[in-house]
Amino acid sequence: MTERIPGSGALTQRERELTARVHTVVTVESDTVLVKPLRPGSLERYLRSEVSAGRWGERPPFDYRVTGGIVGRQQDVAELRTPRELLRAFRLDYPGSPFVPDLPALHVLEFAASEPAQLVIPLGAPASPYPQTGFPPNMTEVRVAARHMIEAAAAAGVDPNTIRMQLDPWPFTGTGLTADPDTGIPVRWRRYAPLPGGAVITEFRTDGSSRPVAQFGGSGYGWRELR
Amino acid sequence: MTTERPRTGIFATVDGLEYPVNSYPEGGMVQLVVRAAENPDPNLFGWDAGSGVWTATVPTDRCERIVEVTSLANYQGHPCQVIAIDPDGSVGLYYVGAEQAALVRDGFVQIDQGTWARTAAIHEISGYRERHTDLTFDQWKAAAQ
Repeated sequence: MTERIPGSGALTQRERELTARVHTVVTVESDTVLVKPLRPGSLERYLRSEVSAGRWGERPPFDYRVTGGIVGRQQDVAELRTPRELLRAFRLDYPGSPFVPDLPALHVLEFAASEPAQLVIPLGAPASPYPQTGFPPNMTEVRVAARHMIEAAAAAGVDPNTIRMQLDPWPFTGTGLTADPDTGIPVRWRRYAPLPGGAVITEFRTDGSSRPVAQFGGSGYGWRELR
Repeated sequence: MTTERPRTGIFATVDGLEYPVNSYPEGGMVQLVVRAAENPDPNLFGWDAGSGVWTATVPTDRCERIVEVTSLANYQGHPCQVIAIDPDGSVGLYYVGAEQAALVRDGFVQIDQGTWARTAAIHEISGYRERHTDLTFDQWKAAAQ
């Protein structure tokens, strides 16, 4: 066991296998609704149909027709109502995160999986390419922990074609589950690809209320604001 | 063939011509949507006056190809997805490889869990290419079995 590394690195091989077994029952069909919390300011970028290279250090590249990265299933977060609860479940407190716990509103993108083959399970280990924090991705112990997690998934019966090796800063766990012990959820990595028509952005507020604020008609029609 | 760069989207080839598709195939059909002054094929398209587009709904088995297109390039040896190219030559990149050790050194910033991005200049990228994912794979795989 690699003891110093959190997440998958802190588990025995048996514990990794038991954790990986979760992913054999977390299914995603074409009509499964996926959810992705959006960075503050994203709603406005979607609504103005922005396609932009971004500006280094200020705002990331953006295409209103595309999404990807870490996503969850709506059914796994259905009980969560406030920005704080959602941020905690997804553990969006990564280094440099623009999310703060007292956000007055959180916008969440909701869309049908459509092409489940775009989704893979992010397995590996926590690692930090920031020199001042954590364990670097090229550290032997990190790579051993990541390899052991992937071997455990294979032993648990997870299809190797559905795995993506990932080394990212904590709170990334490397287990395919988010790090929160109470509301942690299974997540998938979606290849950055076109958004399906019918996608909705829902606004969650601190009082527990929520409402759809924008709907995507598809690449040919774009986004429209819902009032 | 559409000439936008980077190309991102879903495209279908019907009667030898490629058209943009509004969304993923559903129920064995795809919806073609074209913004143009003239009808691209009067035998196929009708005018959607409310949205100002030419549109056609076509069975997937009438399409010679349906592909999801994304664009890739290399920056400092890192494989990246090209998200946008601005008129001033700025290129928005998302890292798509599995080797994170040199990302921070080379100016990538984590913008989301597991997503590393940077903006570079067009002369700094090489190996520009398109990735075509065949969205009819399951259809013809089933037919081949």
